[in-house]
Amino acid sequence: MLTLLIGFAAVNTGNNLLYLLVSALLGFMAVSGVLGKWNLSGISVNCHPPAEVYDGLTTLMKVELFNRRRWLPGILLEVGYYDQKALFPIVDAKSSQQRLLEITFEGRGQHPAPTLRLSSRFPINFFIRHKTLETEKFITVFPRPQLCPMDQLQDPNIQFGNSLSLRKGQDGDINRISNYRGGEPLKRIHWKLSARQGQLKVKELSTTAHTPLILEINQLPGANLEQKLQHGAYLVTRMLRSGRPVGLQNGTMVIPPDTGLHHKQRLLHTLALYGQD
Amino acid sequence: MVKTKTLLNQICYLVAAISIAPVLGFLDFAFVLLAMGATVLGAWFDYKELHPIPGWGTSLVALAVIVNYSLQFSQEDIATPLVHVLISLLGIRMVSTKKGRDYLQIFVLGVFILAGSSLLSLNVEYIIYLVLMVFSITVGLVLLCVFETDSGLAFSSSQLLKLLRVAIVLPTGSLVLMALLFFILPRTSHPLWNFLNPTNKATSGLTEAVKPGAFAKISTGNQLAFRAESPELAPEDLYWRALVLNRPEREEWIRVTPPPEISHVVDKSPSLQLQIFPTSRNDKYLITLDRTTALHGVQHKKSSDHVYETRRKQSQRHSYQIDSKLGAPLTVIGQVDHEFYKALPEFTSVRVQSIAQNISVLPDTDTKLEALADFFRKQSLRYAETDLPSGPNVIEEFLFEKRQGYCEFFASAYVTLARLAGIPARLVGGYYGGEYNPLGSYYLVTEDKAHVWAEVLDNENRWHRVDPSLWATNAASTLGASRLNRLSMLQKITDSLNYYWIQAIVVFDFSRQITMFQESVKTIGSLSKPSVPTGYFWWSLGGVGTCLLIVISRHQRRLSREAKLLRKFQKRVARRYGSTILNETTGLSELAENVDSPHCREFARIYQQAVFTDRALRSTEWKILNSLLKKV
Repeated sequence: MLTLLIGFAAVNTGNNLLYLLVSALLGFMAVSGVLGKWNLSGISVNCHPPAEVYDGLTTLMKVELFNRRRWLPGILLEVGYYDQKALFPIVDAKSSQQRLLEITFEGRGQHPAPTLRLSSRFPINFFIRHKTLETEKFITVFPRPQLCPMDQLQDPNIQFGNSLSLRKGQDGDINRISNYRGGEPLKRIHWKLSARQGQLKVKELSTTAHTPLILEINQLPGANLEQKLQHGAYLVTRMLRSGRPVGLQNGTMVIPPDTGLHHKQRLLHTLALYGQD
Repeated sequence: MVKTKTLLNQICYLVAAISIAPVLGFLDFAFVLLAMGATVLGAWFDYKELHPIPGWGTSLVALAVIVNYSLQFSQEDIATPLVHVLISLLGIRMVSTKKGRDYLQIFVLGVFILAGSSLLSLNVEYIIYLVLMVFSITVGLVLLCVFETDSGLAFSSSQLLKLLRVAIVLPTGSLVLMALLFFILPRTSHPLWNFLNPTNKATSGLTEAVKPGAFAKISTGNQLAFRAESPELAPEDLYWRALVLNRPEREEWIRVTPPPEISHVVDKSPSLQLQIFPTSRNDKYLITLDRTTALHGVQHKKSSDHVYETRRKQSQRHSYQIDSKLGAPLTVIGQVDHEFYKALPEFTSVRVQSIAQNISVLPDTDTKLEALADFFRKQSLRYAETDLPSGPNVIEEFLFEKRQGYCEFFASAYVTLARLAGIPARLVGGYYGGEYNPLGSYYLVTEDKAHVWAEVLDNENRWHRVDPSLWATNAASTLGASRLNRLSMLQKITDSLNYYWIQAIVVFDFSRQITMFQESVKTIGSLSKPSVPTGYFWWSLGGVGTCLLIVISRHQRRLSREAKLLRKFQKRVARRYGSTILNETTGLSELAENVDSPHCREFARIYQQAVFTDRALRSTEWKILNSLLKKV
């Protein structure tokens, strides 16, 4: 508008000093356009979802922005996911930075990784340039754990607090500190340590020894398959958190009872994809 | 850590200062104080984070200011009240609370004030303010962008440096493009609002009437009259001709329309081309170098006595070209109106008449002219600008009593005597001398170089230039020396800057744009024809080539021998199997597997054995790898 107005005055007065000013403003518009385009070029974004993502539960996804350019730093870059935005004020050339974004998936099973939007107002806030970052990654979304009665599943051998095991649980002492994987309750986050180390850390508690348990999917409580799987996810996480070995059976397919993170994910993965293969 | 807002505020103060500076000389002093005070007060409020002036208060003041200055608008002067309004608004904005949009308003007002300053003055200082403004506003806009993205953002000094390093690309690029766009933006040959442009107060040492004795002393100003782009000439050739005064009327010489006659400059010597850049003048006469044969670049009317007049006022800056043959006589074809050029003043003293009588009896014009020159020399006249002859009989007093005067006395006495002796003669007004500036290859002629000389007609109908002032006993030390004094180096530099500014920017118009376009088309056309490049071309090509070699060799030098070999291998693979096979993350083994070539696999194995175990390649390995490379 300003350029048009001064341009109009320049043409009508023939004043070369006004022409100079208009030329500078036009030059500025051109250079700002190019600079804005450059700012988004050579930038790649990787999303690192947590190890456990549950249907309908909000979790924190790590977004890593990498500036592959040789000289030019990335300025005022924003990675957005719906109404959420992670701002990267200055990303040096040939370097990367990380931020966290809250994400929520609806429905269990394989989901394509969230489509992120890279945008920037740089260099001037007149236009916002953006590009959509498609990804071929898939994320397995586990069934949302649904509270279910556990009277029949009580471990008869163990009285609460009787003997401690080195396995992970939620009722013992702090056993060790590990990285946040997305499924742990917020009360278990060690905020002080997280702040000091720049990434979320959770307290892992010890547990007591328990009798192994095999869950048969069809026998799980619930009015329909989805409820059964949600109860199953709850039982898997609840039991494993208390240190009790859990297995899974569906007809001839049997996953023997075990504990540990890897085993937990295997069970949840099976529940997530159940009926979708 | 530095807050974005703090930086943004500082940029605003800078923009305010830059926008006020070029118009300072055109504002009322009290107003200047108010504008500066508002900026300082605004800075104080920002520092203390105070917001004592409510929004409605500032709006009310702004309205009052606009109304007040709107009443002062007139067709003669629109720019001054406009600039006052803009600066008032800027001052109000400076003392108010500053949020995102307010910063933008300050920047816009700054640009408008700078634009307004171009309607007040066309001086070269404008470019300095323009460059400063472009730098501060563009950096300010980047900071504003940061501020609007996250107003709480703060930067460490190193981060700030990185941000500014990128931000500086904006003004630099803008200014480079400005230099290009300026010449190609569309222009009109007759702008409608030309009256808005600044008209310099024209003062001219050149007068349209010569009246010796009107003043007891003359004052000389050293304001610029014009510049003339030319090679350096001999001092005696520097007669800049403007007008011819051909009729004595009462006690003065004036110009009336000369009788029609056809005259030519008959001279075989080559013409000298000059470009004249006059300052704003309030007369219509175009200055030429005696003797001009042609004039281009401006609409003009040429009189029979070779006086060139423009068709429009010279209030706007312009330039034109002339072709001259130095000192050549003006030959009249056909009859000359002798009566017209022998007309005498109403009163001439007996003493003057008797001198003329003695000369008039001589046989021919050449002898008469010689006698006239002898008479002037014998009188021992002095060139002086004070204690001048005056009164009704000024010529007699000049020639016989005081015996001193300036050019008007010499020339008018000479022409009067010549006419009394029966020789057609006329006075010529113009300039004599000028300082040559070798930095810009031009003459700078100031108003104090205004001069009057004479032209006389010989027996062969040729008008000759005669400067009787040169017969003054002190001509060499006064007239000659004062007209050819040298500029100091600083003066040369500053004046060259001004000269180039006017030449390249101020007088650039539609016609020059068309010429430039035509020349570009011609150049492009000539490029397609095979031609032998000139020395400059080869030198330029050599220079560019050397620079490229230096850049490439410096880049290559950074790579190790092994890295260079690997790059060679990758290039060869890409050429053989297509560039899609390579990407940044492809490792050497992976590449060898992908192309499924035994030579590549072997190359990868030997290379990795050496390089990945942190040792340099042995000469045998080097040879094998090179031979494998050829087989790929």
